[in-house]
Amino acid sequence: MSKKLKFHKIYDENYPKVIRLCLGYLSGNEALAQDMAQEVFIKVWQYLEDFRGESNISTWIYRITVNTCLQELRKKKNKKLKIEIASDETSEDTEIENQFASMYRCIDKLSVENKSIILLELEGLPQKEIAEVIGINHSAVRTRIHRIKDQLSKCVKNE
Amino acid sequence: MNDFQNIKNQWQQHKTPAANHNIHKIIEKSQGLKRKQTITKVVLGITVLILISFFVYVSAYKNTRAFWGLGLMIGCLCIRIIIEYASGLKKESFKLHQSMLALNEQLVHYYKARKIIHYLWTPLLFATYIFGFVLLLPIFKEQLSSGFYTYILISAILTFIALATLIGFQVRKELKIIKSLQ
Repeated sequence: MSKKLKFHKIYDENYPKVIRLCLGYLSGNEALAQDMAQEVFIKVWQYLEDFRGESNISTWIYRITVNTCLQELRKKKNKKLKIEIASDETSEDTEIENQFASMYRCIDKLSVENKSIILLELEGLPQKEIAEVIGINHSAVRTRIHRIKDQLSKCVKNE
Repeated sequence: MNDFQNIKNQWQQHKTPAANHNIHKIIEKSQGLKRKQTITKVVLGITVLILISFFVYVSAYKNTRAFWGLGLMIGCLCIRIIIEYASGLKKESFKLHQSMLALNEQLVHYYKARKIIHYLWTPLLFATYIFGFVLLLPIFKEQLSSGFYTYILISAILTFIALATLIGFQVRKELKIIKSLQ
């Protein structure tokens, strides 16, 4: 398979995961998340030849996404991110968006490492893979997830 | 269903912005970035060459004061360019597909090395550069009109102040990055 075809397949299969993760880091700011997702795929294209299949392609993509998002966020650190809520939608949609806004606010209160762990957990990534993406051992991930889940659930409830 | 499971379900069902499927744009942008990096390397190389050629062209090596003055200024600029170039190459070599903590560790080492550049090399080179300029002042005074000499003196002082401020900002920015990584 040519590099372009392989990239096309990776892009189609992974774009929703990448954009959701970027949205999580950017408090739901869609425009910034789309730019960041584009940055992620630029890196994927650049590193594609380095992928040796030692881990799942999704783990590999998540590593690039987490590292790229954090790198971009360090650059944007001084700019306060606005939590976006769509305005031209029905009241039911608005309620869902409001719930998301509070979820983003709660995620934003977490430390960088905890934020990355919980975003990957929300994506449904197995804990073993989360450990590979973050670079800590599996049992530490399990303990941390348990603690962050409680923290996040309480925060969302109180919002 | 517990609270977190609810949150997780909502998260996974969230409508995300659609992919624009513009693969070609991504590939083009990636190639454009690579071109830009090559151009920067060529420009830096040419700058060093021009500075050295200028030194030879004005035959500064024939006059001791001009030799030291211009030599120190050009030498400092060349060393600073080479340091910055090497530092840039080092950062480019960090792979983004390694784990978050492994990359963080590399970045912390990198920015600590940058601290040595900022706190040791930059002030040293900056002071030497100014010293080289001061050495040239008597030659300027002797060979230029008093008006032009004053102009050079004032513009140099303003440039040095602006440069010092710029370096200060850059150092502060990088120190903030180190703090956020720890």
